[in-house]
Amino acid sequence: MGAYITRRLLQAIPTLFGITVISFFLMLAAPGDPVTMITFKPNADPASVEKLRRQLGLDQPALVQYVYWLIGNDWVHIDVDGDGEGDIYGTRKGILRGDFGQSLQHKRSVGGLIVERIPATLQLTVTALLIGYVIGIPVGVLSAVRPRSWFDQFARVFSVIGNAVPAFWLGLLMIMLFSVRLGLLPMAGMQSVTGPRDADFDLMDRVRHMIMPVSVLAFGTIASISRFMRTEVIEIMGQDYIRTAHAKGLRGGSVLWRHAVRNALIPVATFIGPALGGLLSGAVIIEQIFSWPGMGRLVINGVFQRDYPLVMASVVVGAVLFILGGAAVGCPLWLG
Amino acid sequence: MSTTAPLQNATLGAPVELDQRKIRTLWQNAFRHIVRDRLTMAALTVLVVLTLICFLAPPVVENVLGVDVNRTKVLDKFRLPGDGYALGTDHLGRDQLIRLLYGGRISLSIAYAASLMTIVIATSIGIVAGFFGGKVDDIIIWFINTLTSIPSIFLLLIASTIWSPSPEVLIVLLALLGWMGTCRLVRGEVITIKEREYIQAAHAVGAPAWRIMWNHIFPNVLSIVIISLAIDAGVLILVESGLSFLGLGVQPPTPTWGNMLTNSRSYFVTGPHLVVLPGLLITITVLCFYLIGDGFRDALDPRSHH
Repeated sequence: MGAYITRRLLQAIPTLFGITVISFFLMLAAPGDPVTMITFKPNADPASVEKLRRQLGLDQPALVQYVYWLIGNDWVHIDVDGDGEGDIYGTRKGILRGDFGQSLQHKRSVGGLIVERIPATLQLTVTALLIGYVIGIPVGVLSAVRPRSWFDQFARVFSVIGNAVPAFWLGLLMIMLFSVRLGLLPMAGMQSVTGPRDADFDLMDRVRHMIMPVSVLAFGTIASISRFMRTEVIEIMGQDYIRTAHAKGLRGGSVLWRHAVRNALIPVATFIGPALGGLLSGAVIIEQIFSWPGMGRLVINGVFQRDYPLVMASVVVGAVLFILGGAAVGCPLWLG
Repeated sequence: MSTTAPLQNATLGAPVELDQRKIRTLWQNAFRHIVRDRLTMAALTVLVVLTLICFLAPPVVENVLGVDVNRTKVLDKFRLPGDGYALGTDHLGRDQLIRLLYGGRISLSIAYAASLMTIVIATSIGIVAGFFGGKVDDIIIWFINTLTSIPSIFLLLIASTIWSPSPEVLIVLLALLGWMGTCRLVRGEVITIKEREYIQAAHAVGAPAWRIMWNHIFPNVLSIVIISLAIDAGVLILVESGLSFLGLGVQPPTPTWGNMLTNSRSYFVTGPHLVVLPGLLITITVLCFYLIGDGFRDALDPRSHH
């Protein structure tokens, strides 16, 4: 177990290194001078702008800036006034020590902002993932048991459409139908703000807010999982050990569930990683449509406001979540 | 079954019959399979018709009818379909049908061009990685793993803010960020192909690497490439419409199916047709691409022939 986790984490290091390089150099390529974004004055005193630039390390070559971003600059003696002598030490700790810098837009630590938003995003994606598996697996098994039956045909149509419908459009249609026309479900946000006790957590209220965004996200997941499960079960049902089980006199149901489905679940379970990645991407748009205060909305606002430290940190955090998710999925499989 | 029939005919002294059972190549077989596959043919027809209409209608609209796609008519805003306009008008009184056709031209061009470009990148890198293996393969796989570990929409969002995209730039961005999946498939296939005897034979007669890759390996991954081309085009329509919907893809007033939905939240009451129609066209197009991809897969996979 320990060896497995260590190996997975070691394997992730080159990938993570690549991710930081890509994020950083995209940030560098981005238009707009961070200093003008901070001072926000076109006619700021050039001398103090220059000072700020040196203090932030923006006068350094790209590679040095990358190193500062990665491991911080609190060990560097910065020459702020340009007289060739170091004046102060840097204040940044670098992303490796958990310091993602300050958000230009919110004037707060980016790490804090992201940590606040992650639970909301996970609430949507993990729920959608669970629903996707809970519905997708039985649907896939039932389709596999009777290929080309009406149920299988229906499931096929459903899954092809489920993969072809743009999630954001499905979201819009649901809002139009269930919120605007029928007035059944809240159209946006995470909780109602009209009640007298807004601050309290109300489970039913939260569930009502989650129904639409989670359904939209889960729709595509159910579609993929059920097809995947169907293919796996059909393939396994043709294997020799299934024939052996039948020959031993086991009943059909027992062969299906104890032999075929259990083995089919292994490859389907490894799909959790990619599925979660897809859901994280999908959540970006879904959060925007349903005004869900998660990471996706934070990132999109950051992109529109050109808040690069925030956006880059989100990329790194998103990728780490994705990699850790993949490793976590592998654990029980490796144990089994 | 099929092997005995010509023999019998031959023994009956009818050699002409032999010619009627010509040996068909994989491609001829695939073609026959697709022509008989009604669902795939239906999807192909819909797609071809939709593409033709979207590409041919705009010049007709401009030159023959003399209508400007961006012409606004405040008095006619939020007309419902049928009310003087076949598919109604939007919040500025622009003809929705014409905008859908123009939008389709942009969305479909992006999908076709970007999927072609994706496939070219994916196939060439995949063949090189699979064929050479070793260090080259390690580096390429590392790069693919890195890119695929980042939720793809994040990269697209950033890239499209940095280079605020025209349709041409968007095509390049989508291709540069979307080739990894197909590349993995191609590489996997190449790794098995390169162990075959005919590749060994080509090595033995001293064929240069590029010729083996182009003449012997490429034709054998072509079926994967064609299937991926259709599927990728569908995915790219979805990605482009999502980006444009967020306001980060093709910029208005140039219509695309995605950015026609950008402000649709405000039309839930006044113009439901403005919400329904663009999305419906996206869905239909993507569905067609997926069905065609599926059809190609069935046709090109020899094991699926019954």
